Amino acid sequence: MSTPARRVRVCLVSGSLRGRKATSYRLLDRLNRFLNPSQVEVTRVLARARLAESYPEEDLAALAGADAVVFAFPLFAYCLSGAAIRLLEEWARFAVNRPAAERARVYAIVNCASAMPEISAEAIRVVRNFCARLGLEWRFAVAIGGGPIAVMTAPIDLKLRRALRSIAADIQTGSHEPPTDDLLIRPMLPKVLMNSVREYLDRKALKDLTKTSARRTTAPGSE
Amino acid sequence: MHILLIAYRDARSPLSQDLQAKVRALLKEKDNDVEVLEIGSNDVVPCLGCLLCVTKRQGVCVSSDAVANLNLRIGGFDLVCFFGPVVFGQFSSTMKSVAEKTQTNRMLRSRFIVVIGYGDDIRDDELATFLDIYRKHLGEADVLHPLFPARVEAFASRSLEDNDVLCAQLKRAL
Repeated sequence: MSTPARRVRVCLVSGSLRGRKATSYRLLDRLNRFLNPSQVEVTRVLARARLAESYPEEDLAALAGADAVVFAFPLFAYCLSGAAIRLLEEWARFAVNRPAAERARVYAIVNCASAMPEISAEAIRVVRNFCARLGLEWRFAVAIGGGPIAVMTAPIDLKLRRALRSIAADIQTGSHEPPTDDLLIRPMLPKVLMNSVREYLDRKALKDLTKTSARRTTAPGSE
Repeated sequence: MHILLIAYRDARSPLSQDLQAKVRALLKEKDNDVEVLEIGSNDVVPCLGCLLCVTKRQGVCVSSDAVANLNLRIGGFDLVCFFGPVVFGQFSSTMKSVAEKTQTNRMLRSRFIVVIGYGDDIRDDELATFLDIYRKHLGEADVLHPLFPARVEAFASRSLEDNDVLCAQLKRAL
């Protein structure tokens, strides 16, 4: 009698501190729909803000023991956020003394609020560097523009659906073909509209900050 | 010039100590007024990405930590220098959190940012990534915040010999 094949252990990691409301978490949810439960066993790890010392051992063990890791995170100033890079630091520290039996395959989903997903290139390079350090097998990244808008339009965004499906298929087939190019998903809203919203927020912030700064410098007792 | 040097306090190494001493001496030239703030891993709560500092709270963060106090006066510096270790091609978590949490207030008046990364075992790819993050995207190349055209200079060191080269480059940039 043949032994049934072991299910692929997939760890879905959200590098956002906004918990289940986060765009990263919700994109992982959508990816999870394309994973076949009879073929994969899914665990989840979420980035944490306040750590007494380190991440709980169960989180780090889930990362180190996974066959495939999908790391979704928001783009902060063209690279990973402090919380997301802390998670990678902790994973690297944990993995030093516990060499994995097999090289985990790593995918990244980067979500940026900009209309131009290509600005995520350096963040993807950081994850690739991380994989090279730990001896993990880098596969490919999906860089998504539009931030929360990408989640709102996800049901009708065929490009996003295809990109997430391609991660699921790569995990489930266990392909060791050379990694494909990273996939760029532009938001469905026009770029000009997204840029106008961003510019409005920047102008408002500048106005508010200038006002507050003037108040601070004129307040009694201020330096 | 009124200069703020924000340095990572934990995990000092001969490389980082030598570099920090040289950078401090360099910044103090020309009668510059230099304030040094050393930040440790437990002093900063990472940025939540809630954007309330931009949209509602006029630059005030929802979490109170060492950076909250700093934010009240960071706009008053002519030059802000971030000094911390590089991991996997970007600043390590603590210094990255400080940079994120000061961004809104920094944009107001600090028009000159110097970024200095260091590490004994930074690989070539990591070094290139670290420098590209700043050279390709920040300062005048910042497509996300064109209303805040800060000048950004980035440097990195992997050895004591690099420290001298870095200081010579920094001196030219100042």
